[in-house]
Amino acid sequence: MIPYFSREDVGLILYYLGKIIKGIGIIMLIPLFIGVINHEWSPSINFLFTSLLSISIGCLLIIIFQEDRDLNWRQGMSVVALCWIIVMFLGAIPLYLSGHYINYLDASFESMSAIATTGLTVVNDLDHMSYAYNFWRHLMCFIGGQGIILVALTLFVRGGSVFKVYVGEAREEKIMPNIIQTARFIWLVSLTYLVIGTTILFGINLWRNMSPGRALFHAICLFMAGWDTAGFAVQSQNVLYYHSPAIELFTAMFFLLGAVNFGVHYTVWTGKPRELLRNYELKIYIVSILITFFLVCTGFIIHFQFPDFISFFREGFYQLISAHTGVGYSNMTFHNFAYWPPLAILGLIIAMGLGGSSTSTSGGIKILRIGILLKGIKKELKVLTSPGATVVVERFHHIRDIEIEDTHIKMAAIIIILYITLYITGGLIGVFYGYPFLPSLFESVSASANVGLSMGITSPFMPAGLKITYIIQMWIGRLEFISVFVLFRFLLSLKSPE
Amino acid sequence: MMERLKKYIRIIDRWIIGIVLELIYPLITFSAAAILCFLLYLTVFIRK
Amino acid sequence: MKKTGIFLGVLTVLFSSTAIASKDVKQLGSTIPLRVLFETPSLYDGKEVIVKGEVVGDIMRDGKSFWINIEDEGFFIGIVINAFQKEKIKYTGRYKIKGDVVKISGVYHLHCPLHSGERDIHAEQFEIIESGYKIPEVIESKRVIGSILLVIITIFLLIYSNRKSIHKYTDGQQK
Repeated sequence: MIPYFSREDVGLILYYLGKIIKGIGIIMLIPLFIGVINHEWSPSINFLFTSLLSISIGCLLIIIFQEDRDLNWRQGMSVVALCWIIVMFLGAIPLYLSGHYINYLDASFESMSAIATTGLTVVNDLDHMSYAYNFWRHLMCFIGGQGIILVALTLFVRGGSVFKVYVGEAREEKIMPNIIQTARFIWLVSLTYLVIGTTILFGINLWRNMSPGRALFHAICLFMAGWDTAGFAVQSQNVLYYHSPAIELFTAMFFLLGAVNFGVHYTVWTGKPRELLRNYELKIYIVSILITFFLVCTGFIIHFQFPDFISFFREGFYQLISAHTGVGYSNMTFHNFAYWPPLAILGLIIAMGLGGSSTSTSGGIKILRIGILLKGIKKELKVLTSPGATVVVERFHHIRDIEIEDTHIKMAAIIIILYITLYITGGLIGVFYGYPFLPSLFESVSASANVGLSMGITSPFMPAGLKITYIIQMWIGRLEFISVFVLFRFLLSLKSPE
Repeated sequence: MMERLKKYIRIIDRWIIGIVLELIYPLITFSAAAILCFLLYLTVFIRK
Repeated sequence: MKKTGIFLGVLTVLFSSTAIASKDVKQLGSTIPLRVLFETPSLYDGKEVIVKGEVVGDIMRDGKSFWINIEDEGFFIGIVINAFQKEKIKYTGRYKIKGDVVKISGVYHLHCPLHSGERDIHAEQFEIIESGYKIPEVIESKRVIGSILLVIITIFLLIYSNRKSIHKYTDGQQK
């Protein structure tokens, strides 16, 4: 008999949510600071307001539901799923107050898009947005990409039970034996690359005559949204704004690294650089990039209208790598898709659906699952073709040598099927709203795999129902189903206690 | 003291090597894709 | 006689210069909305077009020329300008600043061969038709008052929750 949730769980869940909400309130002081140093008083007041509101709500929850107990697995999962929704609503408040969004739903869409590291945007007049709001958009990407719980884990919440919560954020692997150490290592990698990436991008911006302040701001924001595979950019035109192949090259480098498993980073950094060559997931990843890019290329054979090879490679490969890593940076506008052949678009959709490595910042099915499934198929074929009594063993190298078990294959297959269902459902809802099938599917996959490329459906003027659909897809896609299912079960059992 | 310093240097050394290798890694991927694409481009171009 | 000659000469020069100037303005007369350039690019690819829009963001160097981005009713395009034209721009659009609205004539490329396939316009003639300006910030007093109230509430709550947790801590010790 599986134990149901009881009403006692509610208090505990709300207590931990209170802690996280308080944490978010404290983090909002960073954009407030950015606003103050840039003399942007109106945004500063809005941030002060929201920050204090969050801290008060958090404190209230903590005071009312004061608890000593630790979270168990189910409660932890519910906390994760709920906290992403709540952070979405709180993060949307300053955005809504900024006046750059038609309504609160749009602000929430943007906020979820940021924390789920998607990058679909419904902002109006981004180019006249203040530094504080813009920084908040990108900071939310960074927080969401690292994992809200992970952020809370390292900064605000103490206690051993939090690992259960951390698992809910689609990070099932522990890189190090201790969860706090793992969290710290993920931060170490991210911050090291933050310094390297920001320096390089800052240098390029300076060299291109941008004022130092703006050069730094653009560099930090570009890096944060790139590394965490979010895909927001400071200006409306995304990466196209810079008209710079150098920026495109370096952003592509950093987001490809952001889509690499943190476990691999750890292994390479601790003196085992051969892992880069041996890692099964990375191998599959490279092959997958090449295959999907081949699809894009072959699509263009029939109708090639680029003046030369460089311009084709620049446009085709940047979209592809952006799609495959789940970033959503784009060096063209969605109008260019008008001359993209369907096969090339299909290549992008497949790349988006597959996503990046597991335990990275990217979304989608994740390459490791595909790899495990491939190994599983190979194993089954071997079993079928070999005489009865032979024991078939399949291994792959991922940090260490792992022997494939049926549970691995089962879990991978379940998640893959769930993702495909999510993709298609969203596509069908798009068609229901009257959009053509291919763009609907593209947008749906882009939302659920947390990519952020758009064929033009996502705009402030799309139907509210579709906005809500994409918000849900982004949420479910980022949390990889499990914690969302646990939350639903929790909510259902509250309604009918037995 | 010296030994401790040496230990730290070794750790940092590994880090730097790791980071440099990781930075080269995407470049190799991009070049592979570029070569693949260029070959395809050439064949198409010649055919046309 | 001589004076009349000079007078007539000056008059002719003046007239002809205004005529040339007016011709110039006429050339930069009807603009094409950027929307059209994006939705039917094939009609204008490689042809000279006249567009207008607000300069937004930064002016970025690229070799000897510079890049700017202009916005026209939600559509954006990159414009390549030279150093001389760059000097004319005083305001670029950002927070609290409305950028200069410029009118540009130049060749539109869907895939510019000089800039590795970018969609751009190489500006030949460049003029500012509306100067930019600073936009004063509006601070809503309601939000200021709300924030002040919240400051008080938050401080109260923080102190209360701290006291509660200290109490709990000491209770625990006594036991």
